[in-house]
Formats: sequence, structure tokens, C-alpha cells
Amino acid sequence: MRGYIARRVLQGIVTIWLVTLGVFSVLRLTGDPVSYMLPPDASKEDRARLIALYGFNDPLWKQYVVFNNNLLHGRFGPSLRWDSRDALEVFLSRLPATLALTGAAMSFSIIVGIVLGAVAATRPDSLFDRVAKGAAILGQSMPVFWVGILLILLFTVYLEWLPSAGGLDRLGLKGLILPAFTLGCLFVAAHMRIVRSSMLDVLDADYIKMVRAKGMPRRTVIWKHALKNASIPIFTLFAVNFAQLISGAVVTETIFAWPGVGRLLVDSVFVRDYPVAQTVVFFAASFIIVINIVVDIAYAWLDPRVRIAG
Amino acid sequence: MRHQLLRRLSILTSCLLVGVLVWSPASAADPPASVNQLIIAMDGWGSDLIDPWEFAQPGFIADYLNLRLLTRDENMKVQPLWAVEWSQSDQGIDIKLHPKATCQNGEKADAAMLQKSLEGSMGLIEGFKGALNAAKVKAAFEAFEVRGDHHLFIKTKSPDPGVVPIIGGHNYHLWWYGPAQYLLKVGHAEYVKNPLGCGPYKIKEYKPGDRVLFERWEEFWGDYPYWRKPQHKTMEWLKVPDGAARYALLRSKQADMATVVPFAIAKDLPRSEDGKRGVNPKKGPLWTQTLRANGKMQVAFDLEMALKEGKADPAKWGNDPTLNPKVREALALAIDKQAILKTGYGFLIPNESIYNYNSYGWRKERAEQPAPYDPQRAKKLLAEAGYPNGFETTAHFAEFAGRPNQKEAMDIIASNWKAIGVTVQVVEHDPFKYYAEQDAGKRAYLPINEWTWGRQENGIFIAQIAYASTGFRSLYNDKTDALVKELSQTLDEPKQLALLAEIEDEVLRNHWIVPLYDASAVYAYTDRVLEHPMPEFGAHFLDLNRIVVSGER
Repeated sequence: MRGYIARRVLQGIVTIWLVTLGVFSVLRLTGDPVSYMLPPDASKEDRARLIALYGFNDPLWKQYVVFNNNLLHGRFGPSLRWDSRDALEVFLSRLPATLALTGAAMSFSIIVGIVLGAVAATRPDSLFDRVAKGAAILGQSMPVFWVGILLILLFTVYLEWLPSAGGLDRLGLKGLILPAFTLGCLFVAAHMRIVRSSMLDVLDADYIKMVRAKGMPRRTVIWKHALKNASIPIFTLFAVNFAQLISGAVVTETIFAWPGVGRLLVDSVFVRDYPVAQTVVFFAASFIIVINIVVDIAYAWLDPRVRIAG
Repeated sequence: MRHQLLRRLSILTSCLLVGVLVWSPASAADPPASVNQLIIAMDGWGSDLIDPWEFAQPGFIADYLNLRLLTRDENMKVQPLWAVEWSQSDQGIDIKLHPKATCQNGEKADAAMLQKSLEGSMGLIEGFKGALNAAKVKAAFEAFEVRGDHHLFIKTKSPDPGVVPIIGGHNYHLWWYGPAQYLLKVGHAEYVKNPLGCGPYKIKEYKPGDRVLFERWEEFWGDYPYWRKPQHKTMEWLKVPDGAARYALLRSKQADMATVVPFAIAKDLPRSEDGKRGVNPKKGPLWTQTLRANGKMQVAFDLEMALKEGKADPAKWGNDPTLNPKVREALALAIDKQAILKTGYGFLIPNESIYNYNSYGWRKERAEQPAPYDPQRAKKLLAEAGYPNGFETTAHFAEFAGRPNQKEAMDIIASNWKAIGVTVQVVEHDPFKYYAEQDAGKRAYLPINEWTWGRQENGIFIAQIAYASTGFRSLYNDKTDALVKELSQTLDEPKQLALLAEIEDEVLRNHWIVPLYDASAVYAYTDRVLEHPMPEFGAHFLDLNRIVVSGER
């Protein structure tokens, strides 16, 4: 088991390093940030002056060595866009908003997904099952930006019930409802389907038949015995989806002007703010990799066949 | 009877008295009653930089936190801000400052502060990178001389009229002035964490790229009608990049104002220009104000210069059809500009000049002449140039924020040129890379580019950076080179205007440029906003401090 964990951690570190290398290279392929900082009508002299000031006239390999050295020492560098603030500080200032949004979206999609999936599994091919599947697929098929705009139109413009721009600090919990619902819709379908299929497998198992035969109430059979045993693949998917949400909330954050990491990434890529873009990608990649490692280790712990094969 | 008459008379007198009291308006100079909040949904505010000595990019935050020397009022007249008097001679620039000017930390905003600030912006103070155009200003200035508490003389190397527009801030906000002693004391890193300035607002909360909450500085010293203590205690900017989302905020009254409303939405909203510009026309829950001509669009044929500068391979491009002036003229004649203008719902302004509409150097008679459109003559010219069956080429453009309809324009141009036999492949680029790659010598955009300028109020600035070999965009020949050089050494206004006209005539005679249109920006307001006076032209003078609202949110 220890060897398996060590191998997975090592693989994770290599993957993170490869991701940072990729981001470093791709960002620099798109041109020097000074070109993006300056307006189109800046003079040649001022362009040259700033390139030298920021050290972008150093050869790429040298910039890469400096970058790795800084990374090893936990330094992500000063932001080019936001007045030389530390890139890590900029990232951390946006993280709580994204965690709140993705946490709420995930909770919404899990609760709705589990309820719909479990009830649908107990009534396969019923009208409820079909409607729930249809609604869930609809939620997954509709582009996030479109759902977001429609929700704003209905709840903000026509009904004037909910606000539509700003973070928790500005709007409080009320401001979380529309973006969380928009983002959560995406995953309701996935969660509902995995719950439904896992539950169908479990509900067909002998021990469930036995429990039923003993006369245990239907509610207890479904929610206590069946759902509990069907939950391992469900929670694996939840964990992976949560990691994806953290890095994938870009569109929702843009539509609802949510001050999160997704918007920060888009903004920093647009203006070629290398340090901030690299920091966001580093942490997003690390988060996804760590979650995957934890899930793999949990699997290996639960199922000895996994570590033998691994 | 007498009693009744007296009663009627007293009622009439009371009515008249009440009427007079109700009618009696507050003087235009009186500040409106204070309110708590103003919320603005913005597409963006340019740069998020706030240190005036490290400004690489124009931005709007600094306009409210710090000082500019000059500004423009709603009639486009240059007006004093920090500088109350200013003049330029062959020897230098003479500036007298507002005697009451102070900063939020109590620091005196005097001549010594202006000198230090200029040095900081020029990159002469260690620990600060300097501002945009530092190199140009550094090359122009020779020495400073403090002639009084509020009087600074800047000795210049030559009488270049292009420098005051940079340091003044009345043509395009480029340089700001902050509390020099405070900046020197705390340094850059501390300043951006605890910024303070000398303008009408303090920054209460600031989330770069997301939200700014300004708080009125109660002791603000400004006493101009266009720059004094604002009506609202706080002004909040929310960055809402999506146009429809900004409009939704306005419709639901979560914001009092939204910047850059999409044309398709704006076309159906009441315009204040139909009555008094910048004043709520009271025709519904929303109203708009159009900032005319804040972005300039034109087609440029710059291969000739790229070859001249060694940036284009002569073996590949030496015989390109666009090197022939007749071909360029034909291509210009084939563009149906009226069709392009129709795509803008009235928010695109015809302008046949190379300078921004109504800016210094812009000639009404030149700019407002009918756009030539003659496909038959275009075909004839192509045949004369040796291309009776047309040719194939590529055109390049990038859609810049706040300068809409570029794609629509290029599609129409491609279709117009197809009609005379010229097949053009239109390539869209990332706006951030568009000029950078071109000027880095890659010249990826040959032979036809769509150019855009942000609004500049001074044609001298355009001439210096675009039509001289020492410039940046560089469409020039020996003649324009000499003209720009002469222009850069004279303070004689009639001569400047004559030179600007001559440069324009030469550029258009060579058909290097096909002026297309000037694009406007539409700002929308809820009915809470009573008025927002600001210049008709120039998106760089939002004057949000001048917004007057009725009652609390």
C-alpha cells in the first residue's frame, strides 16, 4: 500500500510539473506581455523600456529556470496587471468566492441528483423516471451562459426577486442563488444518472431482497440500506466533479460578475499576466490531481485488487 | 363683499408665494443634496494600475483618485483642473497650480509635488518603473525650475506640441499626479495596498479586475462646476463584462448606470441627445447618452512601409498589387461605406478624415464630404493597373473592445471587393496581438489591415505616431516625414493646422488609408439619474463624479 501511494504521489508531482511547463510555454508563445499592457499607440522607445524593466528580453530558458526556482521556493511572482501584487495573494483573494460558488453548486446538484436518481431507480421506466431523466438531460444540454442569461431575465429583470451581479461580500447569500443554480444544473444530470444506475444494481442485490422480505419499510430499505451501499461510485464522481467545478466556473463567474478564480484566470490570460495565470493553473491542476490521488488511494484501500493491479 | 375680496386676495397671494418658492430653482452652481450611493455596471475600466508612477496603460480609476493637470468640460473646452494656467513657449512649459490643492494625507499639492511627480512618471525615481510615454517625455524635457509655491517651469529641448497633450490629460488620460511625499515614503508595494490621492474620491474597497468602491473625500478642494465634491457619498463600480448582463442590472435597477450598452439594445432606448444632451429626457424608465466617435476605424495599406523598413520580404511581397496606388484607389472606391454605416443603428459616424471626428486638426469640409463609392471606376482603375480580372489577397483585423462593428465592416468590404473581382480572405486576430506582432517585425498582417485608434483629441499625436518614420504605426514618405518633423517643432497654431492638413492630404493622395467610420459608445441610465454632463466626444472623460441623482436607492 505504501509503495502504491508513493507511486501515485510521484506521478502527481510529475503531472503538475508538466502542467506548469505547458502553461509557461503556451503563454509565452503568444507574445510578450508588454505588448498587451501598452496601448496600441505606445512608442517603440517606451515598449523597449518596459520589456527591459520586466526582464522579458531574457532568453526563454533563463526565464524558465527563474520560474522553476521561484516555484520551488513558493514564490509565484508579482502580477503584471494588478500593480505588482503577489500572484499568490491575488489568487487567494479570489479563492473564497469560487469555493462558495462551487460548494453551493455542488450541494445543489448532489441533493437534487441523489433524490431524483434514488426515486427514479425505485420506479424504473415510470413517468417520474422519464420526466426526471428528461429534465436532467435538458439541464446538462443547455449551455451555461444561456441558462444564466435566462435566469437573470426571469428572476432579476421580470420578477426582481434576486440580484445578479457581485459576490457574497456585496450581496450576501441571496447573490449566490442564481450562479449556484446555473452552475449546479450542469451536474444534476450526471449525478442523477450515476445514483440511478448504482441504485438499480444494488436494489437488485440479494441482501436488499432479503431485507424487503423481512418486511422492513420501503423508505428504510431505499435510503438506509440501498443508497449507502450504492454510494462508493457516487462519491467518486462527486469528488472529481467538484474538482472540475473549481476550475470550470469561468462562464458562470463572467455572466454573474462573480469575483472568483475562473474570471481571474480569463482576465489574466487575456492580458498575459503570466504570474497570475500560472498560479491559478498550478493550483487548479494540483487540486484536481490531489483529489484524483485521494480517490485512487481510497479505492485501493477499499478494494485490494486495485493496488495489486496498480 | 369686502371680506370676500380680501380672502380671495390672500389666497391668491399665498398661491403666488408658494408658486415662487416651488419654482425658484437651485442655482446651477449649488451642489445637489447629498445622497449615499451610486452604482455603475462597467464593461471595464482599462488598467487596474493605480500607482501614478507605474502606469503602463490608461485606466479610469486614477481619474477619480488622483490629479490631472487639465480636462475638458461638456462643451469640449479645455479647462483647468490642477493647473489653473498653462502655456508653452519655445523655451518650455509654464504651469501655475491651484493654490488650494492638497492631497488626502494633507500633503500640499504644489509645484515641488508636480516636479517630483513628473520625475516619478518619467521613471527617474528609483523603485518606480515610470509611466506610459516616459521615454518620449524624458526626451523632450531638459530641466525643472520651481518659480513659486504653485508655479513650475519646465525647460524643454524643443518646442514639441506633442508633449503637453501627454502630461496634461485633456486629450487622452495618460498621466496622473499623486502625493509625491507619500509615494516616496511608502514605496510602490505599500502604495497599492493603501492608495491615497488628491482627487475627489478615496478608495474604500478595491478588488482589482472586479469591483471598486470609492468614497467621497469630504475635504476635497476642487471648486470647479465640473470638478468639485461629488453628490454621492460612495460610488461603486462593478465589472460586468457581458453587455446583456449589464443591461439586466440596469433594468432591474441594481445599477444606476451601465457603460457601453450594445447597439442592438441601445437603439430602442430614449436618447438624451433628442432633448438636452446628458439630461434625463423623462421618456421612460431608462435613457441613454451617446459618446460620439470614440473609436476610429480605417483600412490601411502598409506594405510599402513594411518593405521600406525591411519588415517584409521583397521576394514575397515586392510585386503585391496593393503597392500600386491605382489599386489602392480602386479598392477605396469599391467600398460601400453607407452599407457599413447602416450596421451601426446610427451609432457609427461617417468621417473621411484620418483624424478623430472633431479633434484638433480635423477638417469638417474634408471629413463630411460624401464618401466616394464608384465600383465602375474602381474596375477601370484595376484594369489600368494591370489587374482587369482582379486578384486574391488577405485582409486582417481584430475586434477591439468599445469599437464595435469591425467584423461587419470587414464582411461588407470583402463582398464589395468581390464585386470588382478582388477576392479577399478576411482573417480575424486576437486584438492584444494585433499590433504587437505587426510591430515586432513579424508583419503577419500584410497587405491589408483594419486599423483602429482610441479617440485622441489632438491630431498632432496621431501624426507623430502614425505618419512619420520615427512613429509607431508608420505610414510615411519623405514628405510626411519632413512635415511631421516641422509640426513637432512649432507652437504656431495656424501653422500646426496647415501642416496637419498637408499631412492628411498626402496620406489620402497616396491612398494609404481608407477612412471608414468613427464608432460611438452608448451609456444607459435608470430614471434615478437626473443628469450626467460630460463631453460629447472623448470616452476618456467619463466624469462620473458629475452624475446627479434624485433621492436614495
